[in-house]
Formats: sequence, structure tokens, C-alpha cells
Amino acid sequence: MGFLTVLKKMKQKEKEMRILILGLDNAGKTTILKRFNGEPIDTISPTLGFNIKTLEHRGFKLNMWDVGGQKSLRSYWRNYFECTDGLIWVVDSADKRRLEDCMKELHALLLEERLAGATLLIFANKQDLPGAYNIDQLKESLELDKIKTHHWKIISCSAVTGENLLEGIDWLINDIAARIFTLD
Amino acid sequence: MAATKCEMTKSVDQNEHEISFFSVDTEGPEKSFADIVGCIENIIISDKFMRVQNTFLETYYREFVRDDENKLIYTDIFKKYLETVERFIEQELVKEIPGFEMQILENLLKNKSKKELDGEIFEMLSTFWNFSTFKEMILDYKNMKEGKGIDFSKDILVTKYDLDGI
Repeated sequence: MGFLTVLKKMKQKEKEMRILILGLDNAGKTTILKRFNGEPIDTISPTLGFNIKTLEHRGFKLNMWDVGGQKSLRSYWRNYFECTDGLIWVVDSADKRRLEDCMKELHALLLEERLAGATLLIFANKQDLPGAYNIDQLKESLELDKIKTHHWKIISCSAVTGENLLEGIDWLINDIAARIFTLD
Repeated sequence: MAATKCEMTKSVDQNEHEISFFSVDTEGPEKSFADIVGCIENIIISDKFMRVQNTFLETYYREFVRDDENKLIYTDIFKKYLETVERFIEQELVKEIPGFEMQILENLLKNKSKKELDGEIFEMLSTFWNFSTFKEMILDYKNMKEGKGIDFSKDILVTKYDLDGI
């Protein structure tokens, strides 16, 4: 670790959080990010790299990193783990065929040492689609009750309608803030 | 530009007979921290640093395009940039301060409070780990290289040099 990294950690501003958004391709990560940012969501194409947006909410500054989810890109996810306070795992609740893949990728991530301290929010996205799994069904398919290493919560949402997106972020902020900032 | 000149202030002044050991102990590390920081400031405003930076930009600017979405390779380049800057600062510090080791600075830093790390120099240093600042800098460089910088042609009228007019 170089001195700039030491300095960076020392200078990390209060009320500033780094949020990493991951999930399988076509889960809606970029759509959620653009929704938060008030950008149009009608022309989003698959992310091949990564997007960064900074959101200001309730006096907190959230640096959100959204990395492409295609299989060939997943080995690059690790380059974005450092200093992550919150992980948002986005699930396409209607893509039942790939839920097992989704479960495996999520549980593999949770073994990562550099994500050990991160709060986990699972967005059960695409609830506006007919046939989407509800939270209980997803909890079972994704084996969420097995997660003991992280604070986690699953929230159903729709990036298209915007439903529950803020509720999710509010929970995430509260959990991270309670963990980090009360220590000072 | 002359080499960056910085020296560690001796914490014990031989001519100052009345100095107490107590004040030597407390002032010593404080002074050397301020000196190191001053030295870093000189390093990053030096022409030599600018040349290192330009060499870096020249090597990598072609990879960058002005687009909201970032390519994965930017992350690797950004990491290399941070390492390059860090290595250069370290090399220069070792040259300028006898007996300097990076570990000394890291230990001094770890014992500081957030308030002690405020100020212009720390703001300057914090731009080095800001990805957006880095991306903007490299895209500006690209614009300049490709002649898309500020266009003066509408503001300055260029005419043929007229010898007869003299």
C-alpha cells in the first residue's frame, strides 16, 4: 500500500460512501443507476465497461460504481472491490432460468475478503414484469438465509417504474452509517 | 527548473543552548512531517513531475474516448498512473531527504487526525486518486493532441506579413 492509499483512507470524507452495483447481465444495474440520476432509460445498451455516478441523498455522497455483468466481464469485478461500503446485487426477478447462476455468483462474491465489511442490498428488480418471482421465492432460490457474513436485505423494485428504489437506498445508507460513522 | 530543493530541518539546533529535551521530543516528528509535506509540494509542482505526467498521458491517451461509459482498461491505466505518481514522489523524496523511507511518512500519516490533513497540498494530492479527475485530464490531453483544444481562429485575425508596409 503506497502513501497515497494511506492518505486516501485517512482523508475519506465523512458521509461519503462507495457503492458497488453488480449482478448478471440484463439485470438492470445501469437502468437503476440512471433512474437514480434522473437520466433517460429508454436507450440503454449492455454495459461493456463501467459507469460511475455520484448521488447526493440525505446529506450523504454516494459514489456508485456499476460494472458490466456479462460472463466474460465478471472476472474484472474484483478490480472494483477495494473500499466498498455497500454492495447492491441486482436480480432480474423474471429470469428464472438463470437464478441458479445468479445464486452462485452472489455467494462467490460474498467470500471475497475485500467485500467482507460491505452491507449487501439485493434488488429484486423487474417486479413490473408478469411472472416475476416475489421476495420469498427469490430468498429461497438464491439461498439468502445462508448469508451470515454480511448485513443484508432484499427489496422488490422496478427500475422502470422507480418503485422501491429509494427505500432500498435508504436502508443501505442507514446500515452503512450505523456501522461506520458511529465509531468516530 | 532547478532540482526541487528541500531539506529536513534539524530538530536540535546546536547553537540553541536553552532548548529543552522535552521540546525536542515533541517538535522533532512534527517538524519533519511538515518538511516532508513541503517537499512533496515542491515535487508535484516541478517541471520534472509535469514531464513524467506528460509521458504517461502520451502513452495512454489513445485508449480514451469521451463517453459516459468507461472501458474496463481505464481502471488498469488509472492504477498505473497512481503507481507512477507515487514512485516518482518517492524517488524524489529519497533524493532530497537524507535517510528518507516511505514507511516513515506512512507512519506519520497514520498518526494524524483528519483536521491535520486539511489544506491545499492535501487537496492537490487527493486529485491523484479521483478517477473522474484523471479521466478528465487525459481527455483534455487527447483534445489538445487532436487539435480540438480552444480554437482561437475566431478571436485572432491572422494576416499575411506585409513587408511593404514597414
